[in-house]
Amino acid sequence: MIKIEALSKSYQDGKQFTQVLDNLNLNIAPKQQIAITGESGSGKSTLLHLLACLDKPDSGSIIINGQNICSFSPRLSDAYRQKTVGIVFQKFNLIECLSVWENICFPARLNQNLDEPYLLNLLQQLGIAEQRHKMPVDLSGGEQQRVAIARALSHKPELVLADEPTGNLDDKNSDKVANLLFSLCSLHNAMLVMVTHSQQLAKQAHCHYHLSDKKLTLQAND
Amino acid sequence: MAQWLKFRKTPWLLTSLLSASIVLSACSESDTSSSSMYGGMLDQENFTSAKANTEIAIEFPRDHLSHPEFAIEWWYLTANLFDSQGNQYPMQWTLFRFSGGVSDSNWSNGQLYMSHGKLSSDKQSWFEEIFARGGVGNADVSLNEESNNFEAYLDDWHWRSSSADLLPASLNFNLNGQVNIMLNMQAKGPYILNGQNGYSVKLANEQHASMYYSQPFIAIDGSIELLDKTIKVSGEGWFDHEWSAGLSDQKTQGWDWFSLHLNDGQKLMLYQVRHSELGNVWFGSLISPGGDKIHLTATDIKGTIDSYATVNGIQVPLNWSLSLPQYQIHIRVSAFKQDQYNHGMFPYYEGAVVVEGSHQGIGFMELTGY
Amino acid sequence: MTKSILSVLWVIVKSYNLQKYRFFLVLMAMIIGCAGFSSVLVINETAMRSYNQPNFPLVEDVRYAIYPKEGASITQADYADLRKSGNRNIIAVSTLEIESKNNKLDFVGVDYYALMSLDLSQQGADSTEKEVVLFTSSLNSSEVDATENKFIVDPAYAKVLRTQKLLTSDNFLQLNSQFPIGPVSIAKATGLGQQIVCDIETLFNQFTTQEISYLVVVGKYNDKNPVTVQLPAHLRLVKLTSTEDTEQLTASFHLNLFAMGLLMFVVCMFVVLNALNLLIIKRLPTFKILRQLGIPIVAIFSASIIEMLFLAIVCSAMGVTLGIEAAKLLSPAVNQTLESLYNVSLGFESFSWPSLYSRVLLASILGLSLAAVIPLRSIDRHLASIKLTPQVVSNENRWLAVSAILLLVSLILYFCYTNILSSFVIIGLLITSGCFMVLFILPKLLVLTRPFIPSNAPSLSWSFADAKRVSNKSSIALCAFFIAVTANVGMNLMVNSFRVATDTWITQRLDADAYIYTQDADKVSTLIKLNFPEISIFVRQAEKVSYQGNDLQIRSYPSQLKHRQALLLEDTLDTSWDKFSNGYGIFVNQQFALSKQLKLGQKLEISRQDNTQLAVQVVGIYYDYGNPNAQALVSEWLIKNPLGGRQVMALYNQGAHPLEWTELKKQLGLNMPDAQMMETQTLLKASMQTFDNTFVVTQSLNIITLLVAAFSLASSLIVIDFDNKPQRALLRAMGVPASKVLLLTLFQYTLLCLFICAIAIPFGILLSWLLINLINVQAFYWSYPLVIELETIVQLVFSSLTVVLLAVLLPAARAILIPPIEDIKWLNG
Repeated sequence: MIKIEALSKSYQDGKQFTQVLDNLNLNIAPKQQIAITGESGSGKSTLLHLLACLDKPDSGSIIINGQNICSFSPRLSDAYRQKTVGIVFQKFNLIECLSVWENICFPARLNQNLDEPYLLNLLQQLGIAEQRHKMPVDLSGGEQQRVAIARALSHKPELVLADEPTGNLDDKNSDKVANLLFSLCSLHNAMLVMVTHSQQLAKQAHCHYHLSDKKLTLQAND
Repeated sequence: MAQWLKFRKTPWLLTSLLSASIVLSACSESDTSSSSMYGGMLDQENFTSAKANTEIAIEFPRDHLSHPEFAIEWWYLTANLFDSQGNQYPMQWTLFRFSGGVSDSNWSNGQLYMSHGKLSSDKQSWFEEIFARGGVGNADVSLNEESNNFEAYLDDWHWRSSSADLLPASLNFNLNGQVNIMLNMQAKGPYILNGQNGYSVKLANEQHASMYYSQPFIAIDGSIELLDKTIKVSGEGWFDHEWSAGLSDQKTQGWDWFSLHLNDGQKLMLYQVRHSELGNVWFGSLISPGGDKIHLTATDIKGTIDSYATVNGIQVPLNWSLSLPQYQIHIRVSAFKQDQYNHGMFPYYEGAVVVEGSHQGIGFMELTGY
Repeated sequence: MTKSILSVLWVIVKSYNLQKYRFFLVLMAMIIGCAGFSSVLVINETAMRSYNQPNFPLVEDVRYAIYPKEGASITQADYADLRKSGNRNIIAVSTLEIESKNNKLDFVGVDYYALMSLDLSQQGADSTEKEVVLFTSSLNSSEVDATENKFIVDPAYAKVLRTQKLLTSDNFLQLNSQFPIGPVSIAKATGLGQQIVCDIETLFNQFTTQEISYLVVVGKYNDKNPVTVQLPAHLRLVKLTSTEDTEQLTASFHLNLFAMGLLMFVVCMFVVLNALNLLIIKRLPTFKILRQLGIPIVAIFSASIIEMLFLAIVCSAMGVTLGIEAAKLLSPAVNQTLESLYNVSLGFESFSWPSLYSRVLLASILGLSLAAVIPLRSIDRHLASIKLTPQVVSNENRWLAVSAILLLVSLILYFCYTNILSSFVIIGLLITSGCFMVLFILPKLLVLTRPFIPSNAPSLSWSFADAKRVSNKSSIALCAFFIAVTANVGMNLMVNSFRVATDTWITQRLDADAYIYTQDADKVSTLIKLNFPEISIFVRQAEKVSYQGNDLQIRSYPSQLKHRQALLLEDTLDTSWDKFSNGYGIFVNQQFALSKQLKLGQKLEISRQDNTQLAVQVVGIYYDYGNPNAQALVSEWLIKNPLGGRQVMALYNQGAHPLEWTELKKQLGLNMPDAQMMETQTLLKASMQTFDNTFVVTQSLNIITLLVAAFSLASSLIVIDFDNKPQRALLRAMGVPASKVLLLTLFQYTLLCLFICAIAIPFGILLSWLLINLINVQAFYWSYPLVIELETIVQLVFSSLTVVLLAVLLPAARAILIPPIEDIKWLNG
């Protein structure tokens, strides 16, 4: 259960001041999968970074499991990212010196909950089991994104955050990866917050929000 | 560490310098038994050396001079000197001569000289040893070319007689640049030929012997210049002159030598050779105040060690009981002070002693091989 | 936390695999940096040790010797008499030069018996005891049976003798057709140089020599504690050279080496910093990902420190080993110079490894601390993106500010503190300020010069633009190179100035054709006037006086025009010579002026030995390089007790033809054996030779520094080249031929190198000025004018450029030779 209350965030770049989020509220139920769409620069990635505790808001709170992650110390933020969250980045952000398998195991090892059969199963579901000894550079974009998804789920996080997970993929791959992301999250009972500008993708989520003019509006799923 | 190196290493340094002519098997052993007599230099006879024998008649003043045909020779003066307050200043001056056997050197005449000088007080002691080669001009025992008087010298350590005889004479030497010793010496009695007319057997098997005479009746006065004061001293001296082909063999463990001035005017020289095969054997001379000598042999002398002391890590017997039952002499001899070791290239104990018991007296004790 | 640190370390180790070449280069740069520093230290320390070594074999403290006067000889009787009169510290020495197989062998026969008689307790037991221990243990260290050993040879010299086939494998000397002689004991002993040492008796018996060459006087004697020995008329006491005579030159040389060592330390630090920086920068994206995955920054920091410490420890060790080897390889010439200069035998074997290692490690650790702090701080910025945030442009102005502040601080220090430590701090600040200046000016210079590139040369234009990018990325390496060039310019100008000054000074001061030192000037004058009427004589008088309780020597000086010109003055009053010849004025040497802070025009009260005072005014300050003592010049008539003591007579040839000075020398030797005559030409030649020999070492140190810095620059350029692949690929894809790309690359480096030189030259001049006017003055109370020779600078720029181009040529060519498809793949990837 995530409760976002009165969240505001602004940036200052030189003399220019930009308010990105203003007094934003949102509740996410357990196992719920939500998608957020919006224009470029609308602040959807910022929201995701705040949820990942990669950044801090100006005001407001994000309550997860009864704790306001916005007031976390750096040490708690690190621990939160290590345990509670799994992140899928638009540019995959794989550790290029580690093999696919090592990349996937990395968060699990950090959390000391390495479950090899589970991970193998995950790889098979993602269709990259054959590739697990390869280095990231030897994979195609779609394959790299699947590795990133596997890594995000490897330590069985409560919350999966995906930032434009299909932004770098072609249509065919894009569908596949999105489907996998949704189904794996529901399989492992993880909440999913996905940021995308693909309306089609957004429609597959339980809830679809649109971020514009610093506000979130719920979109009706067809 | 430096000290250790210095003393442990130096014996063979000297032997190395003595060059091949002196056949010294001891050079390698000297490391293991560095305290053996004179670094083992006297252990073995030199083949080319003349030998002491009963045929030789000692004549004076001729035999005060050097005997270069013999391998080893020394002129040895010890004295118990006192200042006006009665403080004792034991003194030693020795000139050693070794035959290097080199006859055709362009630098020397093949004779090697070493001189030891020592002065002690109850608190301090000064010791120095110096070396030179014969033929260079800074070491010799000879008659002065101009005056024809006897002289013995090494560098500026100088014994000068006023005649061809040994005495009367003056002796000057300085130690460590700190002490200047200037003494005048007079003979108060005759020379004593030790052993049989000067032929002195050193080992019981009669394989080693020396020519050996003493002058135990020397009256000394003079002065000792220290850096801060000059002390007038006077006392009794004992002079030995000995020459031989060799005094000991490799089984000789060492010797204990005593020269004692007894209060009743008698002089006593006792000498024990310690030998691993032949056992310990005593010799000696008992000299009357008038200069009559009785030759003492092992049967006459009973000597026992009362106690040892540790000096510089070495156990040395510093308290002795010596008896000549036949002559009603029962004395205890003990060191004037504990540390009287000579820390030269060949360390040995040479120091003043106090005599108590049936007779009182003073004298010197030399202990080697400990 | 441990888990996180271990995870990061694991990732780091894994990353080596992916960046093998980069990792290798970084390691090499570090190792070479450390090796350079340690070889400078080794040469440094060897040089320092060389002049601290005693100049006579087996005994320390030999500063005087007794020689026969011309035509006379020392007999055994002379020697025996000296020893018999109490001089037990006098030792007979016989030397013999034997030529064998075109090599000259020096035999030194020492009276071992006199050596053994040296009193252990006199003159402070410490030193003398050591002497004997050194002597005896040196004999002992041989494995050959000592009783048989006749000669002692230093191990380093033994090696030389073996290569010359003069020493056999069983340690016998094989000279000409003679039977081998020996055996030889090969051992280290105090003062043992390139001689074969033996007992004097061995020398007399082995060879035909029958002569005592000289007698050494052992003891800590000096001017305050002089040797007092009564010598017969045909012998003379000689103060041995290479002790005090070269002392000042040596001290200045020492300082030079020390400064060099410090600079090399900084260069080494920068090289390590640069290498590690290159390594870390490439890793920053990975570190960001790790942060996103929840690894604490502390864990990344700790892991990086552990890694770098490990690298520093390993690379320093390898560098030190390599450095010692390099010093051995690089410096046979250096070694030989030192050996001939100080007459000692040198080896690098006895160098203390731990002390060397600790210093090199210190430099590496300082470098790595900076390397860790600077880039790792940026990891935590903008965590969400793995893109490295570009440096904000305003930073360049910040560099200028830092540079200016440092310059200001050094200026303030310069005016507030005057001691040797603050002087070194000033130099340090100056160099750091220079580094920041490089960071500021270099991009500006590139921008400023860009409009001069013709617009019809697009690839050149690109190269220019790209140079800016390269300079940004390799700023640390450029700083290291800047320091090396600055040091080079500074040191070279300083040595050159010193040389010019010394040369001018000696040439001007020694204006006579020859000089005679004698006790009896009258007799010598009569002799000269009688036989050589064309020689005019001027007798220089001297008197010992004191000023404010300190000793001062006043000497007479003529005031004729020619002598006026001969005096090299630092500063003078207008009417100085009038006042001088009237007896009111005094010329003081710089040492005296600086140590007593005398000003021109100041009135002095000088106390004379007869308790009278001499009141004079300082009318001039003259240069007196290398003189350790305070000295002043007055008119001749002011000197009291003329002709007392030893005189210096200046001889001038007034005749029309050059004079045969040897004839005069011969006559002097016959009639006045105590008089010593020296021809100015010989004196000049010998002095300058000594000078050049001394400073040859600094030259080689300079080259090492430059090489190391150039390598550092080259390695960082290679690493940068990896990032340059897309750029190059683009050029290649557009059809620019490989050779042109290579030329463009070399053009870039030439450009950067020249710009760096342009910045470094003024800093180098400033550095040499500081070394001369700050450090030298504080250390020795004398300075000399700075001479800036364009030739020296041009030479330096060329050598720097050559070194850099040679260093980068290979990697640049290698990059070009890669088939274009490889590069183009990069473009597509």
